[in-house]
Amino acid sequence: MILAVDELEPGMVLDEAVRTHQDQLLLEAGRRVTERSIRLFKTWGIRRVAVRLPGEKAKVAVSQATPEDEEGIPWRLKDRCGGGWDDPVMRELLRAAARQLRLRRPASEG
Amino acid sequence: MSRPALRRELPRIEDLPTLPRTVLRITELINDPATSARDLARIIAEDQVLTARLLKLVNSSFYGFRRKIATVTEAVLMIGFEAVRNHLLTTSVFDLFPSRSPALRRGQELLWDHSLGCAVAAKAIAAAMRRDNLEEIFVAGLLHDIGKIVLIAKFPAEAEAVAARVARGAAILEAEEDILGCTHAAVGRRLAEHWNLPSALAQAIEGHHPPFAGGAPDEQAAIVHLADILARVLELGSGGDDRIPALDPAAWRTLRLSPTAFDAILASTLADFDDIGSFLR
Repeated sequence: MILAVDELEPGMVLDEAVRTHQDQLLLEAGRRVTERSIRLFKTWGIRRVAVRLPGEKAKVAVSQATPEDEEGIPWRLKDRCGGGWDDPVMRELLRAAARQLRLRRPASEG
Repeated sequence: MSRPALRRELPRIEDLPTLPRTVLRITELINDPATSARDLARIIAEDQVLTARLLKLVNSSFYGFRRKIATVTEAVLMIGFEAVRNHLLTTSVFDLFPSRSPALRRGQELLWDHSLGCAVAAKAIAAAMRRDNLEEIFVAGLLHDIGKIVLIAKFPAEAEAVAARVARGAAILEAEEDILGCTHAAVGRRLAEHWNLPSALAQAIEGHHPPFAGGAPDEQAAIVHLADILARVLELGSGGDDRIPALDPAAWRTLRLSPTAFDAILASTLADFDDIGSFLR
């Protein structure tokens, strides 16, 4: 379940690792959220965090393999949008960008 | 430095960088309807660097001419006066802001890549809209953040504070007003006027961030607004902060595009960025 940082409560368990926009790890998946980590997220401009509700199964293995949401949009991009990806046109744009970036990568690495 | 002092200092025209004399001369010539391709070519040919850059450009896949263009006169005739001016501006503008600090220089390089990304994206959007002033829109994209370059060069610490605040979710124009007492959009417009660039260009530079004057942006400003978002989504360089701004609904309505156009626009942006970047850098 994705929550805004303001909705987080100490004791909730992270379902996915939280990273800064520079991809620096702030807190690993499976760790408990504390007052301090909420302050840290706000300092780094993190807006949304995936947490596991009590009784919900961990999806750590899945999310680490595919750091994308169910529509194929990388979390890395969504994180940088603030709330902007709620807009349907922005979602189309992000999906198209994810497709184009996937196509480009093999060429630029080769 | 107190903010009111900064406000007084920024508008001073003599503080703003000047374009190389050849480029200014070329801009003047192009504004004069009596100028011929031969007149223009003669001035360009006096400058070996400009000549080499122009010939490299017209022979690149950016234009895709079948045969090789060997002379400056021919290049001018093939791509037109406006395109020549725009490309010489492109290659000259970023030489104007040398920075001695390696950290600042890195920031400038990233901003240059962001500007180039925005320029090729703006051109791709305009092409999808079947506009024919692609060159002009390319330059609008390229120069949209020129005010930022001035601010970073003159007030590096303040510019960094602005970027940090934007990364935390603040609107850039508000953060700049607050910390610097002016915005990169306003500085960019002043610079464009100082360089005698077309007024549509100056307006696009000033008006590429929401909220737009009068509620809706004009077409060029709307294109630059979307192009800025595309360059950020594709992670071409960095505009100083990592945020992807929300697409303004009024700008989107102005463009009358369908989201189905995104794939083609993004693909062409990436291809042009790699191609043109390789000979401008």
